[in-house]
Amino acid sequence: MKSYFSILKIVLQGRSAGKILLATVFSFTFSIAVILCTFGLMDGFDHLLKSGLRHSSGDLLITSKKGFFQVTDPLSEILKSVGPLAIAPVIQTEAFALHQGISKGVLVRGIEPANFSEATGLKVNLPDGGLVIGEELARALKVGAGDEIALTFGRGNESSQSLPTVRQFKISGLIKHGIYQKDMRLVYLPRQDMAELLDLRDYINLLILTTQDPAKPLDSLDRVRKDQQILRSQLSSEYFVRPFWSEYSFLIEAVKVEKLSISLILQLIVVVAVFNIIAFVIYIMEKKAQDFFFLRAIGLSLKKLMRFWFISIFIVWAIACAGAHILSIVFNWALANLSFLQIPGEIYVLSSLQIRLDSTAYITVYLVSLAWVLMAGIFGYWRLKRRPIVQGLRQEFN
Amino acid sequence: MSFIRLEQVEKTFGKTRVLRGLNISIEQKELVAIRGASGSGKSTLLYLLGGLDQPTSGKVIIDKKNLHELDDEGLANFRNESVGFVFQFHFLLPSMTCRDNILLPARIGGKNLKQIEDDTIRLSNILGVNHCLDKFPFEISGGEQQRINIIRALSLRPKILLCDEPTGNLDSKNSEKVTTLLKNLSADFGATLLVVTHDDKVASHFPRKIVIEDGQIIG
Repeated sequence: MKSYFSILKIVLQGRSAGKILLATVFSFTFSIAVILCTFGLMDGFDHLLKSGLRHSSGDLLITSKKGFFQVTDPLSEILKSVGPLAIAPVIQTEAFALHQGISKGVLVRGIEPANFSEATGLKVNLPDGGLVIGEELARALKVGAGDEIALTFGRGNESSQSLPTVRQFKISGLIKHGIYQKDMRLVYLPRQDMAELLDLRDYINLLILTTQDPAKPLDSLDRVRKDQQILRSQLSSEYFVRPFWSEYSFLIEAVKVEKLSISLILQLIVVVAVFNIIAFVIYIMEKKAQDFFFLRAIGLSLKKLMRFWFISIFIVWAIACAGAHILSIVFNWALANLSFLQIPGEIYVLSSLQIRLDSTAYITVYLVSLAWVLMAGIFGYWRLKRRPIVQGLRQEFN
Repeated sequence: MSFIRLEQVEKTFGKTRVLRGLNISIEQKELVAIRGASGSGKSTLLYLLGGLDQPTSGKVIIDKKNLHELDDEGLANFRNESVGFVFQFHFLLPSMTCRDNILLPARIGGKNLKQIEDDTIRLSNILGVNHCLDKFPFEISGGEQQRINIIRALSLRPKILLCDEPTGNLDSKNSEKVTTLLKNLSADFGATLLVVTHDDKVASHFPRKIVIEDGQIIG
């Protein structure tokens, strides 16, 4: 190690060498951080979108061609084949929400809070006569808990079918799914109230079921796909079985494609940083050529030189990776806490972003950057090695 | 068998024949001056003897080792352990104190520094540069720098001390001093001393002189 530090001291001697090395390490750190954060944002988007969707849709959604249906045999028996953890019958219909001259088109869901919560992981506190609305909707209507809003349903009840049904409800709470459109559109009522209002008795038009713990993030979508296939094969063609992501599948696919394409594009940033490293290597080679040839003359073997060189490259890489990791944590904190980094949910679907990186992402980014930096290292070593000692001594000392 | 033996050594650079079939034998602890005009091939000969370069043909055998048969690691070890170099340009690294400069070959060779540090202090006292040890090279005079250079060359007690125009940058008074010093120290350390010079006065101090002209020994 002493010989390593002796050589390092020679390499870093002089004001400019240290500064250039520092700048090189910083540029490499930022390059890796940019890729890590981009990966993390995309994985975070994917995760938030899926967990938000599961919070409103469970794992699978079943609807009927006929519109309304009852959960009786053979449907209830078939559902058992996928071993659901929870089943939530829902009545869902469009309506208008009105408050002091402001109206918004909403999707009203009649639910049973207990089984809905089991199926989606979303806690909905619904007292009798009250309703719960999404946070964004509350903001748009300028209402809060305790205020009253009117809901206008398109079809009247039995006594006045040609007229819309209008009913006042007290807002008992606000709810957040994490997806802008859901928070802007969804309104929850007790299913019993809605059934009476629309005169539906035991009929429902949506069945939400979950086969995996909604509190835990999904490792893979395969299990859901498999359950969907099982139900599809057993249920008659009257029923539609959709996975929770079907509503936003185009977006999930787009993120996947974008992640791949952007990761390739971002390699350019790493290449720029690698050019910085190569520039530093050339600078050192030119500036310290005398020193290196002298060290070679007094007994520094190519093997030791190679060891020094690659340990240094490895240290630069390790510092850059550690720095990039810290920067990604800082950026994630900033995303969660700095208001100017919040994004408009109506454009980006989600109203906030987070960085989510798994070990595969770290390993991929770090290994690719290691490969690049090793290429720069091999180039530097090749430059050191190619000139014979005598030629170097003669050129440098004359 | 001689300690140093060159058999039919040729060295060419492109089409230029720098050394032409040299045969030289040098005994251990011998003090030899290699004389010749500029471009005669004397420095090339020194580099071959120091394992810094390989001959185009022929053999360079030192202490029963054919240098041609050593790989890069072997040659580096040979240069580190068996050879001390004193160049015309002393080449003390400016980022290090004189003490660290002296210890550099030991550090590169991964040697135990304690014994070498003791030798360094003893030798610097003999050469009158003990006050320079913790100074940087640019803080001391040219004569002191050359003496630090010599201590560094001897720091690992080499078997051969190779000097390439060691007095080239010195005035005649200092030149005389350094030449005497090199001779005395080589005798003390039991090292074989080979000094390349174009200066007849320097060469006259040595009991054996090898004169090279156009890559051949002429005397």
